[in-house]
Amino acid sequence: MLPAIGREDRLVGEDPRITGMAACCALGGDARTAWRNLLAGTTGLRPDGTGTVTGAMPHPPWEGEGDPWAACIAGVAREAIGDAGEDPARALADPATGLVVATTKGDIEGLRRPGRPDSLGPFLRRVRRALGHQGPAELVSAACASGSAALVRADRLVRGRVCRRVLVIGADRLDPFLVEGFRCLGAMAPGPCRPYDDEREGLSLGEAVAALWIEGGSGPGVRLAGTGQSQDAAGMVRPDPSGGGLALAIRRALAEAGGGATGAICGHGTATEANDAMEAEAFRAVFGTSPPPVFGIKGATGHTLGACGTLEALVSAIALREGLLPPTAGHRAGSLGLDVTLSPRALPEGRILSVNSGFGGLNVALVLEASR
Amino acid sequence: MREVRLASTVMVDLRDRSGPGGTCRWNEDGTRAAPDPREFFPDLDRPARMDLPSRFVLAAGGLLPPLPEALRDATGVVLGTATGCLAVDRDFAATLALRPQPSLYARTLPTTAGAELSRALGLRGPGLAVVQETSPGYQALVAAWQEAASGACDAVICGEYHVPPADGTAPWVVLALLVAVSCDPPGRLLECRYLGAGDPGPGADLRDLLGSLGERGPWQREVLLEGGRWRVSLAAVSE
Repeated sequence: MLPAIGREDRLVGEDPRITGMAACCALGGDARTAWRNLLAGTTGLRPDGTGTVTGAMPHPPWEGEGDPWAACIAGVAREAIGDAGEDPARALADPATGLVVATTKGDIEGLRRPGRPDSLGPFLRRVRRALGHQGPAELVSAACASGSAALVRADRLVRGRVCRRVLVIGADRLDPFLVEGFRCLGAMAPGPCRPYDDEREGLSLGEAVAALWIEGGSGPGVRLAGTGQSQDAAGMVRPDPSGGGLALAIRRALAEAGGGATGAICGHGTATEANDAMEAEAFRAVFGTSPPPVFGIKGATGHTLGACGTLEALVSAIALREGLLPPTAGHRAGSLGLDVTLSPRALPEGRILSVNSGFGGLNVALVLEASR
Repeated sequence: MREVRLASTVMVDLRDRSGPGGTCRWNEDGTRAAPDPREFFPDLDRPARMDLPSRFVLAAGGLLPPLPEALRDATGVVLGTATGCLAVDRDFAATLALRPQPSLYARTLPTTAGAELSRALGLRGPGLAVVQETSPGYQALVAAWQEAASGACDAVICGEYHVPPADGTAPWVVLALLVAVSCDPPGRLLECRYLGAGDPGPGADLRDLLGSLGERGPWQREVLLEGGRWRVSLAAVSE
């Protein structure tokens, strides 16, 4: 028998803060452009010529010699380090700099490569080589919650004093493997997806690289105040309709963050019937009948799979910095009982809760707050 | 930080199963049949359609000592793998030009095997896979230790699965149960300490952790994870 003996104080190290960020996604080749387009209600979803609407990155940056996908990822990552005012080459050569890469498929095109086809196994080594990274590194996968799970890992590495700073990268790219996969599951919307909307018909896929530079200690930036993870232990594809698994992750994150108001929620918002309804149940279970305002970005960027958690944390961090919530592209009206943003609005005082859920019933919740 | 103990380990390969209940054999006839997880989880839905990593991981998970109901909400699963779901990926990729199979696509994730184990055991703690060429099992052990030590969960089933496409190497799974709560028997105190950046070199797989359990004295091993050296140590067996 293994009776629980109660919890002790969780962590010893410093609060991790997001101090630098960069992204390339369907809304733009840099974070500032993406945020401006998001605020304007623009969508980056376009017909891809095969009868599908997807969110492609502006210029396929992996067309070129060598290892262009890894080079594209490294380029975005260096931009995030530079955004924090650091010299990327020096920071990446520092053995106290950690790296956590989040992805679901890595280099999915590699499956079609002759020789030793693979997508995930060698991916971390390739990204590290492109970066010139010297410190501890790991590649994490938690299905569509991978990008936020990577932030949880960064939290552990900083608080556990393994690393002084951690580069978190979320990256996944469009590929027929994924498009046909979600299509055969019947999960794809015929047009641009419509998160939390009564007429939602499924998801739109997208691709992105998002990078966050995480440092320990006090100072300006956006603090990662709490993390929560859970599993539904139910279905492999469909989420637990009660929202119980996600609610558990949210409660864990809020408990870890301590007291304080939640000003808004950056939802997973895939626009599938099952996901959005499950999320609404989870938000009501935690916050009651009037959850905080909810926004989602997948109607603008598409569902970027392993990157989405990192990209949504980035958007949440900018929203905290700007004091502004973006509209939810694709949403017109919904009866899920959620206050979904239709236009930019001032962020109510408090933190932003960012949540993701993935196949296998994996859930991650992050509590982010501005740090002055 | 909380103390974390290694409570139990199990191993499954194509021929042997080793765990607290001893070692037994199957596939004596030399076939390469994967274990049938219904032996441990009779209520499983359509195990024959399950991917190989899930079948091996479930067969190993079924050998672990039963977890009390109260602990299941706070028990996570963190698995490392170098092979991930490559075999399933290739199978699904082969169907793309014909008729893509939704049941196959849903399993094209390295987290599938861990999620199946969580579903079978009703575990609701963190779920994660780490995928890398160098020492993925030890990387999972370190991540699991950090989760338990940080208080994010009270117990973690961690380990490594190596279930490659048919490339001549044999599949195997090692699982370890880490607990940050009192348990009987008490298990051995586990510590993971970061020693600094390390040059690329040969990694280690988690099977050598099993060898340590035959020794009653303290045990430690320096292992190179991706980009960093770690010391993994176990206290002596308590009398």
